[in-house]
Amino acid sequence: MNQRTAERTGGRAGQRVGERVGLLRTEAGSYLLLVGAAFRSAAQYRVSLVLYTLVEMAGAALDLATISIIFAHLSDLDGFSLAEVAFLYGTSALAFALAEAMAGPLDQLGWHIKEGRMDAVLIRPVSVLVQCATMDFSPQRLSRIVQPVAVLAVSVAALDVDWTPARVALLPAMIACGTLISISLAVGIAAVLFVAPDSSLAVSAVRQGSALATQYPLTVYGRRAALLMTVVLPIAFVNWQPALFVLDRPDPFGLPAFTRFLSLPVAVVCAAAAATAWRSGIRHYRGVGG
Amino acid sequence: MPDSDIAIDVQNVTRAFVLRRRTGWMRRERSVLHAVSDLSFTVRAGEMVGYLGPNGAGKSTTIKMLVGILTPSGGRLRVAGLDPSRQRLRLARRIGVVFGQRSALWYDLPLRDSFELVRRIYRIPSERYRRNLDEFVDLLDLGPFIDTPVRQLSLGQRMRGTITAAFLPNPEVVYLDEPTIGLDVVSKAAVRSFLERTNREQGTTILLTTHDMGDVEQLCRRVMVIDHGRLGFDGELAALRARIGGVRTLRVDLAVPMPAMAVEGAEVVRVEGTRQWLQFPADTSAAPLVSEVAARYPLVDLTVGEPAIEDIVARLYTTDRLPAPRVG
Repeated sequence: MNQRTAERTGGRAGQRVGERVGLLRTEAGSYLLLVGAAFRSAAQYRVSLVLYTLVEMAGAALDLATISIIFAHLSDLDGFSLAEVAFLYGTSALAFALAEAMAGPLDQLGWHIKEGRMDAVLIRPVSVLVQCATMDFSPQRLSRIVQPVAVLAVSVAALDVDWTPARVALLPAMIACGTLISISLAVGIAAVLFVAPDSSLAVSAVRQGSALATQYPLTVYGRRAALLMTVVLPIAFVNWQPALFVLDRPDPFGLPAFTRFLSLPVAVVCAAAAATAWRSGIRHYRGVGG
Repeated sequence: MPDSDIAIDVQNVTRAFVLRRRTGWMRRERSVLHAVSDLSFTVRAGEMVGYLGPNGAGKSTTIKMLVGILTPSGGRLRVAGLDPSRQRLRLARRIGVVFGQRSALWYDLPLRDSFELVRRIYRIPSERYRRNLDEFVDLLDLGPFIDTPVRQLSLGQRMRGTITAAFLPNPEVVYLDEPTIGLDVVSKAAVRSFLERTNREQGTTILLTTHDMGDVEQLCRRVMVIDHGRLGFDGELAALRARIGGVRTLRVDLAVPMPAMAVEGAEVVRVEGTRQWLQFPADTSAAPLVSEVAARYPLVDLTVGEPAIEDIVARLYTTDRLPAPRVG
């Protein structure tokens, strides 16, 4: 009797998971479809595409120059060698560049709301998130991935660490989790725009600020700020915590060893929190109980 | 309970907006605007209904609630048996929406690509898609510009494209908000005959808001008039005409803005700057009226015409024993 009940609820749960997965696949399909449309749209303006790409490249080169200038005056940064800083920079920049490519257009949400374009979004049978993330999708954002990949490759070659299977496996995992955390951050704070469409600037400042913050060893910010970035706005898990494991270093702030591997659960929690914020943003826009 | 014959069911629906106005340093004044109050109507499957009313009367708010963009503050609402605000995505597959000038097409892509995207988003079987597209291209004469990027299309061409995109998935219910506004004569005729034919042959339920009396006359047997968020009339167009009485309108342009004129045998129904609208019984001649206006006022120009929708609505609300429209 009990067993049958258990089977039945198990079956229902399985069905629900199945529905969720199916929904996710549909949305992923729509995402690719709309990104494809954005690519073809952008191809209509070749000159501007090339110019933007050049500007992006120049910006990335400036970032690198900043770090090299710092190292021209210092042999190390808070005890971190150039290769190690490059590793931190590369992992952070790659995660944020991937997130920027996918969720960056969400900054424009406030503008779309004020221009009255959200109504057309809400009448299509595609999730609002997928549509908003693809509405201003610009292919040149993808060029931002080139530079972090290069920096990461160079740093990995230069690092003096023992590449055990665990370290090798952690590298792509930390990039994936870091990307998910930064996307969640972007979605979560973009949800604010449903309530306050005028705060686009503040929203992109928070996002780009966190991208900047994780490019350096967190020790440079001091204990309090570093803990804030670990617990409150968990960007320490984008790269810093797992990187400490890869670089075979103890946590300068004395956090226990298992925190190196918390990126995945943190990413899942962030994603769930972002989804909740986003949904309540849409509900607010539609005036549920308003 | 679910009655498959009813496409749209609106019962006592209300939508309030809270407005906050700054009245001083850190001080805000809060007021509540009832965009729609206690609205009730039903539309049977296959009907084509004109939804009329002046700007700000609550038409768009109604449509946004029917689509699921806005959630009603009170009342009950069903479209194709679904609750729009709770089942927005499911409903979106079964309805079509044309929001006036705001096109749902992909601005930088050729029209054909937008249709292709619609096919994939709505998962239209390719055979039905091809059949529909061929038919719509023919009816709306899209052939000459179907491979042109949307941004290069004229207003009329773009509207014809938007309507095609809305009807491609064979929706059960379609809302059109001002589908003919600003269109050239050819586009307007094409759009009207397309709507008429789709409604007749496919049985598509259509709710149409418009300022164009021609649209209503050609397409809608039934009209609903809304003003200040309340339904003032729901019935056949002929009944609306009869209720208002046979009237004609004299539009007068004066040299300077003036208060409403006092002319015998006619009534000023609207004043806008130097322009005034007078209504007079259809069975009397306009000549004495014109000469009186010309003699007593600084007349610049005038035209005589059938009443526009604004005038019908204004007249409906001034002559009726309806409770005075209110906001608050």
